[in-house]
Amino acid sequence: MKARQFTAVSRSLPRVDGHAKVTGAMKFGDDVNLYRQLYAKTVYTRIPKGTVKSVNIDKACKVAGVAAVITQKDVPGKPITFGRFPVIAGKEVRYIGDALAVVAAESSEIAAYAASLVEVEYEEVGKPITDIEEAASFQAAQIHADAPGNLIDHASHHLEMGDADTGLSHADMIVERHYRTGFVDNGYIEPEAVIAEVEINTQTVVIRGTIQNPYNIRSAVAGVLGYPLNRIRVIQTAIGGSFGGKDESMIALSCRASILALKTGRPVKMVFTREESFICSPKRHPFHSSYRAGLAKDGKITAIASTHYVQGGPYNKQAMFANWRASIHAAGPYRIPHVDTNIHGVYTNTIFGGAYRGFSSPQVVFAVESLIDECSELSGMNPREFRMLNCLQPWDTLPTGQQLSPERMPANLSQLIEAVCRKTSFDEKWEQFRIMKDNRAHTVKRGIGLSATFRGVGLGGEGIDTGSASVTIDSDGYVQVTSGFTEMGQGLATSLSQIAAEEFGIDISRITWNQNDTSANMDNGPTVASRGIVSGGNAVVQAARKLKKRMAAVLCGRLGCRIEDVEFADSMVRNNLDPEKQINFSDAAFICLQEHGISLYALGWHSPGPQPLDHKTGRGEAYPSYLFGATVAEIAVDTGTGKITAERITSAIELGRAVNPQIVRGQFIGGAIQGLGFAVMEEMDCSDGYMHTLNFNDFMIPGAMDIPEIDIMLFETDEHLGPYGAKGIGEIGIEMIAPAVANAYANAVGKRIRELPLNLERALAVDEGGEA
Amino acid sequence: MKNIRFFQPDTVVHALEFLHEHPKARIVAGGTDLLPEYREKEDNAITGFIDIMRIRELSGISFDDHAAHIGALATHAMIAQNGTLKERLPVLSAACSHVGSPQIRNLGTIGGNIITMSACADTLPALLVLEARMVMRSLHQTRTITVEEYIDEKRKQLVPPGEMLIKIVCDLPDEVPLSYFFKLSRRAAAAKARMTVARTAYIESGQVRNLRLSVGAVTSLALRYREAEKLIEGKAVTDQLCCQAGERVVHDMLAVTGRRKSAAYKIPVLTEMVRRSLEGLQ
Amino acid sequence: MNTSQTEIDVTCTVNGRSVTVRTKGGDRLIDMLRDYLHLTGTKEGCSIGECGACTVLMDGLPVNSCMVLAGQAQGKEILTIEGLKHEDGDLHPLQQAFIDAGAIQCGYCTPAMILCGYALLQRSPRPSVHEIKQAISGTLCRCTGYVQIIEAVTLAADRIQTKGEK
Repeated sequence: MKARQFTAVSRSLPRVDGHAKVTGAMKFGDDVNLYRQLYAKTVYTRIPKGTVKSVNIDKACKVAGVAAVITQKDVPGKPITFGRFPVIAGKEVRYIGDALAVVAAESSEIAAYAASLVEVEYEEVGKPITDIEEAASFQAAQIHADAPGNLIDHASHHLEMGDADTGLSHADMIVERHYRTGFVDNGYIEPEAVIAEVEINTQTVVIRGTIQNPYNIRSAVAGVLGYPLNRIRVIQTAIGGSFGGKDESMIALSCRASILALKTGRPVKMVFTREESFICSPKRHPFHSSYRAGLAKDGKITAIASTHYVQGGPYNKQAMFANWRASIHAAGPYRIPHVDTNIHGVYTNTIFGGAYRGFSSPQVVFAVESLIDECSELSGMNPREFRMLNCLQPWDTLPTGQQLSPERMPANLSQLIEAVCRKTSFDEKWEQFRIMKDNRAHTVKRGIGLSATFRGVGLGGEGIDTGSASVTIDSDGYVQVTSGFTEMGQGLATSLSQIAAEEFGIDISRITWNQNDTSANMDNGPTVASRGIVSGGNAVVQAARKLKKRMAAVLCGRLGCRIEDVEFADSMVRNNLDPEKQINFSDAAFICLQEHGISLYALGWHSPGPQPLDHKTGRGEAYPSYLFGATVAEIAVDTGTGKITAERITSAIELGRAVNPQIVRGQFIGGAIQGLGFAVMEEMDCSDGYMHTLNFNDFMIPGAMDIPEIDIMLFETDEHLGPYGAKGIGEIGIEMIAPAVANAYANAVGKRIRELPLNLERALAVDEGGEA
Repeated sequence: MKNIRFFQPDTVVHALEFLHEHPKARIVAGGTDLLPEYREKEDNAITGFIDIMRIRELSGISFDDHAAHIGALATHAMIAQNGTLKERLPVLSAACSHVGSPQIRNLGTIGGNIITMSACADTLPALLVLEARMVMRSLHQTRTITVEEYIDEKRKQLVPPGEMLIKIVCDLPDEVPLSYFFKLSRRAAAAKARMTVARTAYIESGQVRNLRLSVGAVTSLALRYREAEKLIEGKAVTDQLCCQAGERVVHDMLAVTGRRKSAAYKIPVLTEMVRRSLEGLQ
Repeated sequence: MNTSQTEIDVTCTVNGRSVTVRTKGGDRLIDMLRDYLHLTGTKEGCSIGECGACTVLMDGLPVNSCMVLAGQAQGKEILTIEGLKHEDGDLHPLQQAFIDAGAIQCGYCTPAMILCGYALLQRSPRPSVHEIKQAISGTLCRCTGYVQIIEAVTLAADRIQTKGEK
């Protein structure tokens, strides 16, 4: 590919939504109000597990200002939606977020008051199952009658390469380790909000809200109402952060508000309190991972066998996908001849797992990168040397059987590892801190830790990966871009606008980005898996190129050249061979539309097609491409209190091309700091089935004073997959931090913590409590 | 559904009279503890709010020859930024600068921090070592008690109803004691305390005099640790003494709380934090 | 106000204009701003003063508007994000710097962050990174990891001081 000059991409242009956001004008979910709207509140179960004997709504109905109270029998279609989730529960409750009734009233205070008057009779049936081991044990009661072993539907996956037993038998040493992670909330600052109304003329239910994946919501509401898809319209408002989270909770809210809107004939608004959000939104799935690694005397890994049990909660929409991703990545970015990975999801009577940035990678990367560090210790090598010896190289074969041809590995992982280690003087510090850890004169120890990763781009084998975009050039030469992907803070509106501007050779100020509306664009699946830039961007490129081709066909005569010599640049359409001959873009649009009647609307549709996979071995074309990265964390550990302070994070990432370097940097840093929260402070307690972590006073996320220095090295390459080589950067930032911090902790203190977070209690490493 | 009454008196007497007539009304100052509490309770017992922020007699920080008079309505930010307090009562200044977040420090008052008396109130350990006094007024009387006595009343549920805190009085000794304040929390800022230690002392010819030591957030209400103080009083501080004092504090703390699950963490860390609070006196 | 009421007329200055709003006794300042005055740039994130998204300036100081009763705003001067840009529509240098430094992602904490920065620059025109971190430490951001927000405040301070921007 010849080096090309970009005019709109590869530049840090200001965000297209910046002005509205700095002035307070941006309308988020709770900022939308409709004429005669009602406010609705959910009545939740008071016990996490049991039978509901009766739900009495009489008192609630009599409260002045109450418009409707609904229970399960008022659900017009199927009461069960995603992954067994009851929109309103019936006879059985399985977790503390189950709804039993919903009240709509003239004000939210009246709704909340009436909700408190709904009387429910329960019968407790056994103790709630809250623990992974317990749920998976033979004696465990079944949470769903048709789910033996409490195994989540379709969430068991297997991946094998070679024969792990053989690989382990050839090893000189077998390293067996267990790692655990817990529930973590997405922690977006904006709680969920939705407003549903019935559009009378078309009898369409229109839903506006803080919705990450409008097409998911549309399908769910359609099922619950018994409506066809075309009579549900989902319009996204601005979203105050999502990271994967505003999906299941938005399904619950959207379905309940829609039922009430139909019942009352009035718009119905529902806004979560923070407490409701923490109970009802999906969390990062807790993992219990057991690894066995075979090590040869020369430091080479002969095999990695691992089994993972994943906590899903009572209903689960994501474990099937998240677990598949985990199965591909569980052995890390290393050349290992024999790999065997098994992963299962289990139901529990707790809050539930779902999508949170990284999906399942933060959990498995923590486990496998801790394991690799432990192996390096046992091999007597430093962590860099050990990784350099074992890491994937071009033309190596992944456990999936995919060969890492150079287009799948445009930058060597070893190059990234060397870069972060050189930048941080890793070897010297690692050695120095290792010696210093035994010096009792210092209660504050320093540590340095390394982690490396690879990350499959897009959905891969999780499902069909598609992207849609419609692009319209109006007669004045201004352009509208509508994508099936959503803007939720990550900067997609800006990046895709830049791509459209680049294609047409016009200034980005001529582009208007339209917020997602399911009645205006094709269903292209959810905005997940860092795929917005690849699938969404390719769709914009495709639509723009269709339009350019149509315009060129009309204009080439006037420009006196062949179609292929028509060039779009500098807001002009010109003859590439004779640049004097040119028409400005606005006139060109006018000519095509008004003089020739050419359509200047086009749909771009990107689909790499299904990824061929062998479901017996788990092998095949798992992902079309991979990102690679390496990170060094430098920390201080106060051994008197267990307080860990991150001092510096240094990362190197191969990302193809940065469409907007400033946005890329923000995505990386934001992910890294979420990773730091995961590493040292974020945890949620639902250990007895009741939720004890209800607000940001107990669920601590990093604040501005917790921020280390952050140094990012971006390795740009001409990747084959995305527009101009771009790949999604949204998730890789988060997954390398916890293992790098845990490895730094081991370097500082000489003990290893195999469970996240490395909170004060664990990091104190008291002999009776901490793992040695 | 009920209507909440709102009353904004401009004198203490008016406030007390209203409180007398409406015993279920609550006094609100900065609101940083009360409003979250008000919101959490479903069938709320609160029938009204008495906003005392406008009462002149309760505001302001003043000094006489011997003492600082800190109005109940002085915010944490005002105290933390007051130059004289920073110089003369550094342990209080430090405590106030660690309360909540900047926004909370602009609203929250020292009076509120004492009266609400949460387990992890940051100012209490500082006020305990300062032996601060509280001037309380009811419709019938005015009384002065120490913060420590008030904590004791609170523990025994003996606080009389219908009383308002007017001001805090802290003695200003001629010589400012050596002061130490440390708050341990899970986040670098804007986080509730896991443990708080406050200490003041003098050193005369190498020996510790008038040592006062208090720890917050490990017991349901903050405490002075007099036995540990006695261990060191009049002696030259050594590493060994620091550790012994730490052990003594832990012993006395456990006598109050019993051995809970969290003790595995609290015992070594409290020992160490007390040691650190004293090692500077060597 | 020496008699108690269940409905209170609150008169205060909001973004430079005197307003009188009839509120209920249990209303909070954030309710008054969002529901009565339709100033929805002030956001509710946790309702207990932990996240800082509802920050406004009251008599020049950042406060959590979820922890102030509406009646307590009587006679006060309130500044919300809507009051920061100039009459002619030009952005305040802090607002422009937030755009230019890439300090915005989802934008939900942005009004609070900008107001915290504004209050800081009023008292400390050339703040250190440490001062900036402290000033925004009561406002949580889940998207940005804070680095570009800190850079934006530094950039604004610099533009105001060296170029005289207002």
